[in-house]
Amino acid sequence: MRTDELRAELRALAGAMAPFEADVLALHRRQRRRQGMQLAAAIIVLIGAIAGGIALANGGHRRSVQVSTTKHTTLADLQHVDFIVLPPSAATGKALDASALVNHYAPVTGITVPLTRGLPENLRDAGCALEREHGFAVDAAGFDVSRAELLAALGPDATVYDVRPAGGAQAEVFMTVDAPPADVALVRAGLAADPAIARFTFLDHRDAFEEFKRTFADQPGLIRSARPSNLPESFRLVFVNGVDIEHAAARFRDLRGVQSVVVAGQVRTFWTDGAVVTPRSSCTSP
Amino acid sequence: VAGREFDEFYLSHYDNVARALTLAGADRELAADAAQEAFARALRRWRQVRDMERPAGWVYVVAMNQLRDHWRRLEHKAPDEAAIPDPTGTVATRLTVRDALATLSPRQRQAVVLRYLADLPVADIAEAMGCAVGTVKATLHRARASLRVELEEEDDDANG
Repeated sequence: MRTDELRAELRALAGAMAPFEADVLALHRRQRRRQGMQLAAAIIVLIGAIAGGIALANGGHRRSVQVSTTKHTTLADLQHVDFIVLPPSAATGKALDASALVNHYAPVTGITVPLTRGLPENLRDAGCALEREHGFAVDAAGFDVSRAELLAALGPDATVYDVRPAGGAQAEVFMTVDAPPADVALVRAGLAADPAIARFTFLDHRDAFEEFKRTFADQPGLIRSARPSNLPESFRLVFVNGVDIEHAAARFRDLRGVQSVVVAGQVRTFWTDGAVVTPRSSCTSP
Repeated sequence: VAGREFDEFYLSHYDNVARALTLAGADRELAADAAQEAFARALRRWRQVRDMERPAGWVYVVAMNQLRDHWRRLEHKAPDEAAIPDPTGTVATRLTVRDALATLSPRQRQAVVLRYLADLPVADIAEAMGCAVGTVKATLHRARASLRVELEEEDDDANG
């Protein structure tokens, strides 16, 4: 049998089945239901940073002075990801080794960016670039290192993606959606009294909703289905230099009314939209 | 307008996608549901899907992934002796192809259906299955060997 005969046979087999009844209304109902679920998922699942499922090494002071001659390490040992740099060439590695802006770097390979909407643009751009080619994840020597500075240090052949969260926050404490004001006040008092925290800002339901609208601007249906009261209030934290952020942030994890504490740059799995990684992923669309 | 355009897309492809899933080893109910789910996903991102080179191909792949996820969730392998319905019961070659399909592994069967029924390029199948193009070619090669299908010169498997 030849392949064209196989094609014909498959078509004949498929064609001989009893037809499947399409149901447009049921499809639209399913989509609306899913949109509601997606909203629920979107407000609970927070995207920390780039890459899939690599556990971060705990502890250690991320701003410690490096004595070793090479800053090359593995992703598992990388404490923090601030930038994604391409290409992962020997020249780029040498420049990273030589630059005072860099704490450590590690090769990243094999990332797939799921068809996830609302992924912050900087993360998506970096993720899509990593889908096409390999790169380096870079732990910068400080939160004040800018993309432009790093780019200048690496030369014209390098591409640098800033994957840090907007606003320079290093961690975010999310309250449960229905946390009472008393719980919020308690967390606020704890933050104010914590010597590890240099400053913090509070986002109430309305602020969260404004941000939600910006993040999901391409999904009017999702925005219509959301209310400010659906979105959790949160505190964005900036720590004193030299503090072990993982450790310091964890102190707030168990306070009453706290849903989760997300540390910026922490490597965590993207929300995968029902775990279906589709062909072309989200990278084909602008 | 976009809504009507999607509805037309859905109405013209839904049946075919569900049939392909059945050939890949799904029972009728699962095939109907996985196809429906794939179209719901397409609806959600219709503007992107519409602009793809092969919107229907995208749906085939998402639906096929649904099957895989479903089987994985149930921790219940795709039935090796899949009950691919015998619509005619008489035509010898069809019976043979159907029987031969049932002997393939679920992966081989999905690859065969995506390649030879849905007419997807090997590269798209590779992306769908999360493996290299070479792996898909090897899978298809083994499947064809089981099905006793000779690769023809003009078949583009040879180059991609």
